[in-house]
Amino acid sequence: MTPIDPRSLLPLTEVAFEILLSLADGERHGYDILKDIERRTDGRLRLHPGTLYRALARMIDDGLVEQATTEDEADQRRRPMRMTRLGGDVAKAESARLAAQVGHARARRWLRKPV
Amino acid sequence: MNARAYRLLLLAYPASFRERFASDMTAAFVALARERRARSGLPGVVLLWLRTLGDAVSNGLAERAALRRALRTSSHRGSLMWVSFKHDVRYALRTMRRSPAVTALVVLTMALGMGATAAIFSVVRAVILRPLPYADAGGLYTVWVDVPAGSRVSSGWLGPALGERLVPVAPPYLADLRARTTSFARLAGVSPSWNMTLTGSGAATVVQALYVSDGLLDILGLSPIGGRDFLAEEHVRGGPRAVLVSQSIWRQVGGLGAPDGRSITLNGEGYTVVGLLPESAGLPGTPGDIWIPFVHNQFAQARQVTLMMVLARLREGVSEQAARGELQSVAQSLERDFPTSRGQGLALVPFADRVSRRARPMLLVLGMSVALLTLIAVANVANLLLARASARQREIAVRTALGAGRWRIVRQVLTESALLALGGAIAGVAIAYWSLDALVALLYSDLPPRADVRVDWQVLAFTALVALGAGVLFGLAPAFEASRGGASDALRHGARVGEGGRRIRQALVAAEIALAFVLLIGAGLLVRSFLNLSSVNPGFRTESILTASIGLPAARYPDGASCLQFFERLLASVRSLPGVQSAALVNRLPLGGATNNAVDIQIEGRQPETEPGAMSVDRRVGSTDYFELLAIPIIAGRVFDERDAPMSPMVAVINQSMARRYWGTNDPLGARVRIQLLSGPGPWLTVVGVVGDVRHHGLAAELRPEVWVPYSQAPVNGAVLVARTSAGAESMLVTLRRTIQSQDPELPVTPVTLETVVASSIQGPRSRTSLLTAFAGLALLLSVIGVAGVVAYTVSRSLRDIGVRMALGAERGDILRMVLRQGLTPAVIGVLAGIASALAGTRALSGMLFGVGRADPFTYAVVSVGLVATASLACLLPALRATRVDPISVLRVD
Repeated sequence: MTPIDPRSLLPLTEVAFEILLSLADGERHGYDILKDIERRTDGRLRLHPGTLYRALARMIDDGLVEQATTEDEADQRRRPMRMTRLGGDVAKAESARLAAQVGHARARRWLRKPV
Repeated sequence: MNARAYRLLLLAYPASFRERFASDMTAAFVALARERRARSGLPGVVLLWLRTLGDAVSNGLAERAALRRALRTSSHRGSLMWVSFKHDVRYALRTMRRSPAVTALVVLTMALGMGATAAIFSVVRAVILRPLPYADAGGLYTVWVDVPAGSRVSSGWLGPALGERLVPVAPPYLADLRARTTSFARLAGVSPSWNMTLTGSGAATVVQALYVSDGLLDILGLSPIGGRDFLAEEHVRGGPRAVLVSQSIWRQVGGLGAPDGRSITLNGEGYTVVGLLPESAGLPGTPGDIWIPFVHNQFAQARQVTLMMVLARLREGVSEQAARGELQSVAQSLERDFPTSRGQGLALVPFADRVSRRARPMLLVLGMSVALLTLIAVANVANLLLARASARQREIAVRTALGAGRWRIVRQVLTESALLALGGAIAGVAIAYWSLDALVALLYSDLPPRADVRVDWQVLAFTALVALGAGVLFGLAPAFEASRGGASDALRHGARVGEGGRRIRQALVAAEIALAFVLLIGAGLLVRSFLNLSSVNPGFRTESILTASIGLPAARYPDGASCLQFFERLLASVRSLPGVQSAALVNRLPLGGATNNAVDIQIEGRQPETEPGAMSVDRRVGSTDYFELLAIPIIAGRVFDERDAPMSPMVAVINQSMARRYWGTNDPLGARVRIQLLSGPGPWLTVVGVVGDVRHHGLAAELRPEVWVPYSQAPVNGAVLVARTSAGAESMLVTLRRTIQSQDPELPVTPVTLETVVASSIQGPRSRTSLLTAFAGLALLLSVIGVAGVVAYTVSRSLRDIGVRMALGAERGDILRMVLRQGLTPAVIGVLAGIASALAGTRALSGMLFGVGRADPFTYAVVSVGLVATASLACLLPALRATRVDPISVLRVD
């Protein structure tokens, strides 16, 4: 199996990038992800389960995240998500891409220096 | 709750997706809902649900689409079909958006046709196709007496007849049929609607009652919704007096819930309410809110009074044929036993037939008209699309060049036309929905009462089916036109396209004109009939005359003397009203609806004619002043006056038809006639006068011989008061009612003007005529648009041609003639084809025409000339445009 170049999966959608941001600190359930994103964006991005899981399905297919298995039998119906190594690489590559864009925007004085 | 409903929503997703994530998504949603509930209560949850609905559906469908995309790459045949269909639809929608004018025109044209189709089908469905609201309604039959041709049953009262020769049976027949037949599992009888006066609960009201035999509820498969059915002893003479009433009557008399032993007063007699009728108990054509056992009817024992409709159910295993055979032999045995049944047969008719029979010819005509209208719309649209298909040949050639197969192109074009037709159907159903009330009001007199006309799923399905058929029909020609010819021809620069479709287009226009011609002839014939009908002299004046039908309850007015006394008092007070010039009585108004007063007469000193019906005349009752009031001419002798008191010598006045029929050129004055009453021969009456004929049975009906007797010598409980006013009749309606009720406050009366009575007698022909005229007008409009469209299109396509001709010296007149010829050739061919089709197609109208033949040359001439003239006008505008072509500018384009 040839390793996948993270850059081939760029750019990420906003939702995908936010999901990766949420999973950076560890495993999370779907609901936690929704709330985390909502909190981080000050309520600007409020996902519904339908949108979230469609995005997650794509990301699983691309190998960015995976579903953890829990020991707990009763909890089988809500398995937490976690970021894969590839997911982390892609997140970093995407951040670099965004940073480069932001840099160019600054050069044109579209943004102030970070406070 | 939330979890289960959400799982249901997840069905929008493909199964594979559900398998992976359904439980996780549900868990997330439930947590979300819980949080939302805690934070903003129920409104928050509702809001969440609304948003989730959109979220789940859109994401689910997107997921499905993604799955299909993935499958397509693995060449999945079935889904490939689906994808290409979807592609066709998308492409079609884009094409429609690109030419909104054409799309709107097509949808509008189809909407007219589909709207008419849906509306008329709703009526057909309600009247003919929708089963009656009874259990096993298909197995329900009616039994009728089949009277000898040309005769009228000699009786005092005729119920609603079924066609010319089928009349209801006399009440005692029910027992005969039950005793003498074995084919029937059940037999029950019911009278026609009977106007009765309900008193005791506020103002007196007229209610419609039915006299019923035992077992009627049973045979209809119904049971009372409160209380019980009649008991056997309640159907016996002298038994307890009981009635079943509808819920509205029950509420009207203050009843709540089930019957509680409460009594009601009908025509002055008390009856105990024992049960409540279910909503569906109404018999189509014979409304009745109160059911009374038949024993209480005054004619319950009368063998000659044909007023009972017999309902029957066949015994299991007995065929309709066998039952008919048995009825025939029963008729023969009745003929032997009762002289009154001489020459009569018995007929078995399915109940549903009876309900729809009256409306059927009318619906046939309307159905045909709608079909013609739809075909015209189809031809018009086909023409329009054909023109566009030619214009699109280049675009299609490009697609062909890129590898689209011929079938693929045909399918594409057909998808487009099907979508257009469906669009038309949707708009049409909306039109039908909004116009249905007006249509029912218009057709009222031809529909069975309580017909439940509405747009239901079957109407929707039928309309959609017709629309799809129409879509394929008007799509076929353009589809093949579009797919014809090689790509290279059309792609060559400057190639002239659209020549091939010219013949089809002209054929379509000719067909359209022919169809419109048939409709116009139909409408024309009906208009002529209606004009003939309205110009018939009814034999009496109608202006400024008020009428009020009065029925005196037998309980308070038990004999002729009391009735006479009441009416004389009433006449005196009405005559003294300011504005009333004169007042009189008559037993039945002319043109007042289906009534029969046929009696057999005997003429003194003559042998009665033996042929059945030969001595049958109509008996009518009128008071003094009646003939003068209605301006019925006195031909000879005198009419009734003060001399004809109850105890004076009995007199009669006859009409002209009777004088001619029985006396020919001799003088009937002084002759004596005798009327066969139910109880036997009546007293001899001396003929003292001859009056003009009056169209009593309808403007189109034949005149019957009539014998008039004075009300003073033949008083009855029911009579119509007529009053001639000097001022406008309408303004006196209220005064008249007050005057009548001041004489007897318990009498329900609703005065109407005689003009209203006469107008409503021709309501059927009037509404038929206006509907068909409306359809014909639409047909004319559509076909004229068709002609104009084709000519305009041809002109715009052959501008170069015209330019060349003009450059070569053609005169403007030549060009004008050439263009007109192109439009008028199909129009003339269409008219010729239309004449042939109309001669055949108007057969459906034959029963509705009056004073005009189906092949009326005048109508054909007017329609032919009118249609060609209209078509010429339609061609003129584009033709004039052609003559203004500037040859230089047209030729320079190349």
